[in-house]
Amino acid sequence: MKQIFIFLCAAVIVTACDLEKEIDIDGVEFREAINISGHISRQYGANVFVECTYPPQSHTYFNKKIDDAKVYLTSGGVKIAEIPASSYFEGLLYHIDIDTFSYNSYGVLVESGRLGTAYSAEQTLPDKVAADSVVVTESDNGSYMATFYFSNDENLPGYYCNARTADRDDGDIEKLFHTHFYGSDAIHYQEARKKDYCQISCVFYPASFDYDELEYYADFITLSPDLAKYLKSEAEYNTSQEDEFFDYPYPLYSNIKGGYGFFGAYTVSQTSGVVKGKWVYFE
Amino acid sequence: MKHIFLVGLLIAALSSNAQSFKLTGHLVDTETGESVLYANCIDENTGRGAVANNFGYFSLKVGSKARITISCIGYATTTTEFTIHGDTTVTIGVSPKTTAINEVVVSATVPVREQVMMGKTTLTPEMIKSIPSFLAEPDLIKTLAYLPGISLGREGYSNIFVRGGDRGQNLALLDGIKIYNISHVGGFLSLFNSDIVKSVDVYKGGFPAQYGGRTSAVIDVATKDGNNKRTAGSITLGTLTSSAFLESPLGKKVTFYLAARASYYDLLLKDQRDNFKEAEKELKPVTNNEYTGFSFFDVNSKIRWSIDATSNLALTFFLGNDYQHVYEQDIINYGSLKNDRHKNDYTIKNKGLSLTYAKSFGQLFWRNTVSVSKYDTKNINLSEENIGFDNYHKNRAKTITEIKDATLQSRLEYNLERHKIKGGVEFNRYSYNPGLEYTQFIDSINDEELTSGARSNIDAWENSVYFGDEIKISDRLSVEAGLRGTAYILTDTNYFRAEPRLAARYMLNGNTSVKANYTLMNQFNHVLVNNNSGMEEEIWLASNARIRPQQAHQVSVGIFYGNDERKINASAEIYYKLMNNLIEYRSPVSDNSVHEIEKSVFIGGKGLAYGLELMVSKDFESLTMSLTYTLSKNDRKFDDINNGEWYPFIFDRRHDLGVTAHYRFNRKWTVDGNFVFSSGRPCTLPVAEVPRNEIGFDHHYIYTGFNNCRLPAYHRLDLGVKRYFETDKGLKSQLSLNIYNVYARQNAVMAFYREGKVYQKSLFTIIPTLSYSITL
Repeated sequence: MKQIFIFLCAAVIVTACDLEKEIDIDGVEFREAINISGHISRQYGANVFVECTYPPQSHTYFNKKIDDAKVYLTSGGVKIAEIPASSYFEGLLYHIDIDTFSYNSYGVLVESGRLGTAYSAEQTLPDKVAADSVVVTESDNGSYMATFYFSNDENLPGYYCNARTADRDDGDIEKLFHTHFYGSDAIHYQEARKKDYCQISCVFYPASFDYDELEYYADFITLSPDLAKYLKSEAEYNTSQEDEFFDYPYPLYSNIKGGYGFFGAYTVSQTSGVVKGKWVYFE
Repeated sequence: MKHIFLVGLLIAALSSNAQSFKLTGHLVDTETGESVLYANCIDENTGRGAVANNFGYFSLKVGSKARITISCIGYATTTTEFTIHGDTTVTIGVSPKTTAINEVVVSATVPVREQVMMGKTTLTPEMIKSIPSFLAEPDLIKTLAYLPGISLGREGYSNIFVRGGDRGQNLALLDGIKIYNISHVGGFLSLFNSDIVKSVDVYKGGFPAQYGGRTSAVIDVATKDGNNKRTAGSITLGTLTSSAFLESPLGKKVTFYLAARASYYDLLLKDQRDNFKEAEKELKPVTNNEYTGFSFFDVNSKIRWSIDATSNLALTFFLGNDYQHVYEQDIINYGSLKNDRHKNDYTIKNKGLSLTYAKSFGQLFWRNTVSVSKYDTKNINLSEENIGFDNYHKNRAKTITEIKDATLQSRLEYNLERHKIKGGVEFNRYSYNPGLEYTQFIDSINDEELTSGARSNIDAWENSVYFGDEIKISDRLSVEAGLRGTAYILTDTNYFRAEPRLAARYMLNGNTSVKANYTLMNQFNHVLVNNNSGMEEEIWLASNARIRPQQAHQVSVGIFYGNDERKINASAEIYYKLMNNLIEYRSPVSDNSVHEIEKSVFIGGKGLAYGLELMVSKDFESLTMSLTYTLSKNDRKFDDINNGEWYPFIFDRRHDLGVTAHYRFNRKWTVDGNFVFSSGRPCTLPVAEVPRNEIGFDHHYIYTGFNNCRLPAYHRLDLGVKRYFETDKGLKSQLSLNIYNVYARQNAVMAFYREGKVYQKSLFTIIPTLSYSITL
């Protein structure tokens, strides 16, 4: 009897181990598709990164070109210009400097003989809105924080801010999405703005600590609805990826039909100024 | 002459009325003295009937001679005659059926077709013990999952999900004590010890006005009173858990029971734990640098004083603790360096106490309960990093969450011939601590110690007043209407809610009825499930200005059939449920500071659930079978999840089928079997990925939506064989062999990508377990 008991105890422990096996699940079959990452602004024209998707967990660092892609800018559902490939990241990045107008709608359309057609929902380019004031403060660790104060406009879906110093050039193309966020206030969404008066902040760093005066540029950016949704989903996505538990991945917002990714619109209102620097000595 | 005749009739009528008396009965089990609940009581002389309440009391208007017939599942039908001269209170003994093995039918004691309220089921201990169970441990919650519309979520769970609701939307009561976490050891077993259960009322559709504060279901567990005839008990030895139960009279009027259960999984891993501790002390090779253990125990007790034939006082105590330990060390073995260590101790504690006074004034029944309950979790993380030469950094983080309540309920029930009137008040004082966190950092080089902590206590009142009436409009038509008003009061936010409840039943004939039901429920306490801890830590949050009270509207209609002679019951129900102000976990909760826990939720969610539920049960001579099937759809919508589009709830299952069978070979042998099949639950997997690109977009996975795919279907067959023994001296015992998942199906609990392929993870395959129980 005792032996039977011990055997059954052992059986429970052995069989209660985690078991894994390969399975097929409907709805997650991989297919090559067009992925679009793009935006249009009054200041920087249209920048569209077009690439082909990889199967999940491909562990690659190389963006896959779509050799036969043709990329167009649309307005009102009509192609208004073909966006040529940029000399940077040839075959991946498409760039066009074009006169754009607030309150006009713009979209992107990508055609590929191999992968079909992908097109975005069109975005209304928001008008230029300036913050009422910008206050820059210095912290003990050598960074700066730019705080924008602005009155609420319920018609705008969201605001975004970034700032950089003149000696730290991140490049025009990159700067929109490479800004270091400060807390959750770097983006303000319409539904969060119950108050008449709001503020958002972002931090920036000088390239070195050795300076007397530091010139900075501070951007106050108004977002199209889809861009606001995308940035919001990106923040959630990044935190969910840190969560090891399976059930809570957070899909990024997409407004592309026939493919993946998103296309947004924004308008930048830029201010600049000078802050006094200080020498930092290291022992 | 005509006038004389009429006057004569009038006198006869008045005289007849004058001989009408009030008979109050208290039904007790003749063997144990336990109250017998929900029995049908009929006066054969007048044809009037009543149903005993959940304290075993009934009240009937009778003539000077009454012939009362009592019928109840599990008990022999008895008829007692009374000669009555005035309003009378009697105690009526009801004998259990003499068969050693009771018939088991998973259905209500009161025929479902005759109940006015829809979606109510009453379970008895025999029903719970008849279902083959995981680890051979009879489990109330897992038994409930065999009812249509109720599911366990995923394998290993002891939380139930009712008609599209979430786990925190079920009100669990143990003799009036609110139980906040109903599961042990990560959900493998429920917190309810089946030894102490007398009856369980489960509501999933219509809710009587006395229940409130949750939106999906009520599980009202009444525990035994304790044997008032003799000292009795049982001991059960299981593979991983054992339990003991003792009940006895204390004098003529007082009875008590004491029940305890404990697991000993940790003992079986003793070698592994010792090995770890040895390695922890010294630089010593270890065979295993990880140790994971868990254990639990629970204790239940009740003392009941039968003050007189019409009143009693009962004190119920409950305690249930769970422990999980995860120890890891990184083997260094350089010179004299000690190993780095990481320890995690996680504890869940539930405890509660209730005092109930019940008094019958004939047609009036008065019940008062004072209860306190506390649920808390403690998560301690200790990390020691050796930075060389026996210097170390030591981090100690302790996170505590808790909710406690003090509740006073007073309820009156007044039974008239055509009315069952209920009214009462309920005062709840809640104290929430969604996150109490202390961190301590010790740097042995700089001899520096840093301690920080925060506390966020929130207190609230939830006070309710309610009224309900079950009205017998005609022999065919009965209606139950109720209204519950609740005020939820915080320091800076108040909510006032009114909840109408309406149910109607129309008997098409003696065997068939149709019912309709509407309820509005509000829930002021919210559960945030933090899955990061690995034990699915539940954090209870208060409603406030941002997190508004949850609300559920539910409409259901159904047709019910029951034939007592053929012993067959069948039902079909359709429900439609709309939920508002739901909350959902927003990762990562555990990384947030105390003050941000309440921000770690998605708020303002909507839920929509609708479905069809079918049930058929049939009792043959030696075989009892039941079949349940649910076809349902259950979706959620949050502004901040899935781009604001509707998506399937994580426990949405389109099809859910359950078959149970109980076969009695003879008085010594029984075989139980159950089979479950359900559609795979939703999960979220990427369909593609793109690497980081040069205009600022990071590498990311591409999903086609939240819960965009489904795990493989879940199915499982369990079998149980029981052998009953009885010695010449009357000592009864029972040997049970249970086989969980007979055909070793690997059911998926999750899916994930590895090297570009999709894998599933399963918890269990076939698990045979043995238990031996002695009844003293």
